[in-house]
Amino acid sequence: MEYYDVLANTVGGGKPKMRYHFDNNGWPAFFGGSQVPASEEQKSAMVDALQDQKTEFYKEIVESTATAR
Amino acid sequence: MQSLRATPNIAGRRAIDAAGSRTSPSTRRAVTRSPVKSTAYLTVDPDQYDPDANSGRGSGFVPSGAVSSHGGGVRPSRVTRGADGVVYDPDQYDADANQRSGGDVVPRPSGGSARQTEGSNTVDPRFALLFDCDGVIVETEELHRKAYNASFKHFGLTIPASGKVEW
Repeated sequence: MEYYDVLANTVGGGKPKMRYHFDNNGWPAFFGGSQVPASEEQKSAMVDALQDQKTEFYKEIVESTATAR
Repeated sequence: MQSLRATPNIAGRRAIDAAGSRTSPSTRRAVTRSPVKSTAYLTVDPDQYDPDANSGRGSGFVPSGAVSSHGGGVRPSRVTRGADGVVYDPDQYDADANQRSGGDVVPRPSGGSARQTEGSNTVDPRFALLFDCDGVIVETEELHRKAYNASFKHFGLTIPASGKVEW
């Protein structure tokens, strides 16, 4: 939780957040594999896929759990 | 710079001069009694008439005098200014918007000639326009964090050197 606070206050935007994290901690692989993206195109494709899926989860979470303050 | 209110006189004089050039001195006097009517001094441009703008709705503008004396169709303003200097527009009072976190509802302030019994002027309650920033209506940061982690988990995201990605 604390780490995300730092991230939220350091980097604007979801995709830049992921890039920032992966640039600092190493790029990941899908499904526990060892094939990490090497080229800029592969990194963009990974971040795009993660963000698109994140958006779907976010919509579900907002509809199911979000309450007005 | 010449005042706009002087414009009718100028217009009248021009009319007289124009008339005088083609009329005898006797008729010139008659013309001076009926100068050309000018509308340049009116506070409302009929070509740009906007009832909302001219009644001060939403602008905080409170007319100081009898704006409608020119017969331009301006309706009486319901916007009043309270003794505390706060501008109050009864057409824009919304009890929901004035409900405080403790449950109290700030009452509609009293003021001048405003009709106290009329509430929202919403024409079609199916539609509304909300202005919001992150965290005003819903605290969304935690929801974003959960959504990212769900996405990371969905793809089995793993950094070879450090393991699962979780924010």
